[in-house]
Amino acid sequence: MSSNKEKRKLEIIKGSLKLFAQNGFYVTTIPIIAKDLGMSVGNMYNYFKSKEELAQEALRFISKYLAKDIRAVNESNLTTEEKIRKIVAEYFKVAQNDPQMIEFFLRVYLSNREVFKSGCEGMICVNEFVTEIMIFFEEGGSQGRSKKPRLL
Amino acid sequence: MANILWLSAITCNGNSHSFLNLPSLEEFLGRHNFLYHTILPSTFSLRDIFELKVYESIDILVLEGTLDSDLKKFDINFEDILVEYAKRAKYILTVGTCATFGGIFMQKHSNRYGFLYKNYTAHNRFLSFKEKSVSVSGCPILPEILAGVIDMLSSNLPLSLDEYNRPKSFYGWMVHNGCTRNEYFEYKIDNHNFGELEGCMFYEHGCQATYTRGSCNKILWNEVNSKTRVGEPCHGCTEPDFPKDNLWQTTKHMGIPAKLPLGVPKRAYLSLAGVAKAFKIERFYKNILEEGDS
Repeated sequence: MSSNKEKRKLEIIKGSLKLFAQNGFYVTTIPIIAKDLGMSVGNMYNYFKSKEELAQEALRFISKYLAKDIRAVNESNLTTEEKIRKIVAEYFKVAQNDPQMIEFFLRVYLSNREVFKSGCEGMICVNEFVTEIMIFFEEGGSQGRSKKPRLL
Repeated sequence: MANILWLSAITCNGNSHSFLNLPSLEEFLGRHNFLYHTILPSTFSLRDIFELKVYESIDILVLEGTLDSDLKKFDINFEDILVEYAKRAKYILTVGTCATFGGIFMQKHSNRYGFLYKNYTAHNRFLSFKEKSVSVSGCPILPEILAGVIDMLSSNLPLSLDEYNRPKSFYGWMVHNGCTRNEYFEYKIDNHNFGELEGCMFYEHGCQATYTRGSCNKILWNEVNSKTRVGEPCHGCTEPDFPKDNLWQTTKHMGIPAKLPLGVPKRAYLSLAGVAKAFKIERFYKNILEEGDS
């Protein structure tokens, strides 16, 4: 894929993210997203075959975006306690500066699981994010700093 | 024909016995001559050996068992005898993990060691013999490997060795290589009960095959089977840190195996595991033989 097409795709993902996060998955239609981005509906389909595909790509985008910050924390020399503070701080920073990232996750991904059933099985679309979280816990665990939660 | 002298230090003789299971032992004994072996017919008695009555050329000196500087036989210091024959031998083979790295008989004895190594650490006692030494580790060794190495050395064929002097032909790949359970490993499914044919033992049952070098799943024991194929985890018996504790349980941190397949970065492993676990494939959760006829 040409880098121009890739760039445009990313713009569509970012634009749709805001609309999905504000209005939910079903209310936000392809014509609404296209209009918001100043594109024709036909042209939109050159980039994404369906709204489901667009939502799944948006989810992958968020996963990679969040994973990048956590990976930097994981690879730092901070202690487990410092790392957890830093990860929480990063999370609030994202929630404040790019609230659509978190809102999409909560309002679309967790509320409309049927959209992600085929194509985002298991943790596939959030793999980068989950991997970094697991590395954080595993490293804390191997140093005796993180523990598996005890069931009440 | 090679003249072989087999010396046993502190040992259970497991390698001597294992060697008797060599399927082509008769042909091997037709090709080579044992100046001394603990069980097989030999030219000399053990007393002759310790009284230095052997004047024949020694092509291969085989050392079995853990070393201890105080070890004596016939009131003669074992290491003195070892050094005498090591000087004369063309090659020295440390046979088994005890002779190579210290192994089982080094446990709880800080003054014991293998010929060149104490676990992962090289020591200097016999350093001058390193150039002509070859390590054949295992608990016990696969007889085919020992016979293969002796045949290669006596035919002057080149042996490519790893960092612990182990022949790469036999120790260059993991025991995991050739395991019949690989399909279960790929999809991260343990779901194993000891002795059953289904499931991979890496995730719960302590299997060390993915980070243990050896040929157990390519050269089968007694030409029949291997531990992992039959449903027992690999205990990592060819490696410098053998034996470890808790051999039937996978040590994990927050649900992730503490030791990952050799050379695989944690991030790569977890990414792959995440994808593999996303799909529940029914076939892998079934007991194939007890399922009944279809």
